Amino acid sequence: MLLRSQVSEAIDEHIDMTPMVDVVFQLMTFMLFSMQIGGGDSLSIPPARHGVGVDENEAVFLTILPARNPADRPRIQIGTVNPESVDIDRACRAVSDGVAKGLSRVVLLADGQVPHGEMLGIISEITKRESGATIHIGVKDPE
Amino acid sequence: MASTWDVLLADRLETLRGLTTEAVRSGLRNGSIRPSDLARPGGSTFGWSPISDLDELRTGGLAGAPGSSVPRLDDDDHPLVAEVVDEFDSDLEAPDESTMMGGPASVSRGEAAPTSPLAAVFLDDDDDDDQPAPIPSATSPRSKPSKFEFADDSLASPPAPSPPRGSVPPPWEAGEGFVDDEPDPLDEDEAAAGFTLSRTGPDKIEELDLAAMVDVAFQLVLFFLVTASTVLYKSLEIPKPNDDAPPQAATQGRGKSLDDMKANFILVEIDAAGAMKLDREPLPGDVSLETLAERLRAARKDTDRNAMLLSADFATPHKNAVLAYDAANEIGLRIAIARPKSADSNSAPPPPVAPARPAF
Repeated sequence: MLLRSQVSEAIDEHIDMTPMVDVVFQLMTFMLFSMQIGGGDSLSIPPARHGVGVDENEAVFLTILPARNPADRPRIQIGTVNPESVDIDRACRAVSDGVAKGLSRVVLLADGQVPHGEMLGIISEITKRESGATIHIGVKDPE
Repeated sequence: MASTWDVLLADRLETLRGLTTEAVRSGLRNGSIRPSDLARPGGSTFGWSPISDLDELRTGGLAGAPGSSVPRLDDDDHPLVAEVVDEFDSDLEAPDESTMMGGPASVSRGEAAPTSPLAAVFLDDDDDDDQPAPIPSATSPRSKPSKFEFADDSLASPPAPSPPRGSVPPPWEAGEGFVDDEPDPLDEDEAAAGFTLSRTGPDKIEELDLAAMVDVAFQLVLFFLVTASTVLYKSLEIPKPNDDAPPQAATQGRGKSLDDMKANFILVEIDAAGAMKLDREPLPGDVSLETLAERLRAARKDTDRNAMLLSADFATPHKNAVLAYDAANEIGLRIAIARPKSADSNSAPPPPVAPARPAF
């Protein structure tokens, strides 16, 4: 019988970091793919204390940016991720497509500097094409 | 006097039968038989007696030799050996050899033999051709085991048999006077400690520790659960405008001026610069949400009007209109929006009113 004190087996107490490193790399890869690279126009949504939440999967989102030149019309973009600049007709078709898919809500994520009259004009065009759509104006929580 | 003897090796519980007296004495001298072993006349059924008690066997064997008890393997050399020795000794109750054989009482078990020429003669009997051959099977498991044997995993089995004790006397039995030119096998073992052909330990089962992986997997699950939650956009629902164009509405008599609407709506006007009026009265400075809400609450209380009509300039920033919407929602007013004049329609009549529709 071998006494315990005579056992001279070296015990490796180091933690195997291989699995941890593997998962960290997976996390990094996931974040790299899921991250949206900024670079678009900055959007200053007006703050509001009250409001209702709209699921991003249950509405058509239109981003409205101020015109680069005072004489131009505001820019309209479809969606919130990699938005595409379109004219009012293309935006109305996108709303119609969304309503056909069951997305009855339209959220206008408009910059606070967009003229009020332009906003009402866009809303009028949308409701003229799709009377069943419900119009929402995107706001953010006040700081 | 018996011609042959049966000898019971106490340490191995092995019986050697038919040994001559001289063979027993030779075994006593070379250490293969110890005085504590038991003997009886060969072929008899008498009880076993310690060899040390049998004068005819002792005489010429160990009698008269100083330290007549054959020195044993040092118990401190290895705990395992000590354990085995203690076990056998406790079972057999061997008598005090030193006392019975007449040797010095100071020679105790485990001590090296005294430095006596006689002891050297007793132990170094390899060259003694006159003596009969040692007992062939007299191997002793008490031989000091090598380190390799203890490093082996087969420690549960008995130690590997060592050469007969009489063939290569171990140095601990020789004492200081012992001179042996042959290489010590123990030294060889120590020298060869770095290289051995003996089997190594059992193959280790290199099992991957999954604890860290499971922990991180749970973290990933939580991360996905959190990030996969639905993103809600905060928004204000606004009433739909009337499809009727202002000229047509005015022609059909459905257009109403702001003054006409004032009786039913709390009128809020915002000019292009963002200045606000409430029921035609200007609000001082930058109007905050709390200020506008308080003024709207007071107006509702005085006139029992429960709807707000927003008439904002076409060019006023959108954020000012949102401020008015939020203030109306603050106190629970319905919201109506007046269609503003276009920037290129300066000569247009006063703006008609979009249908009043509660925002919530």
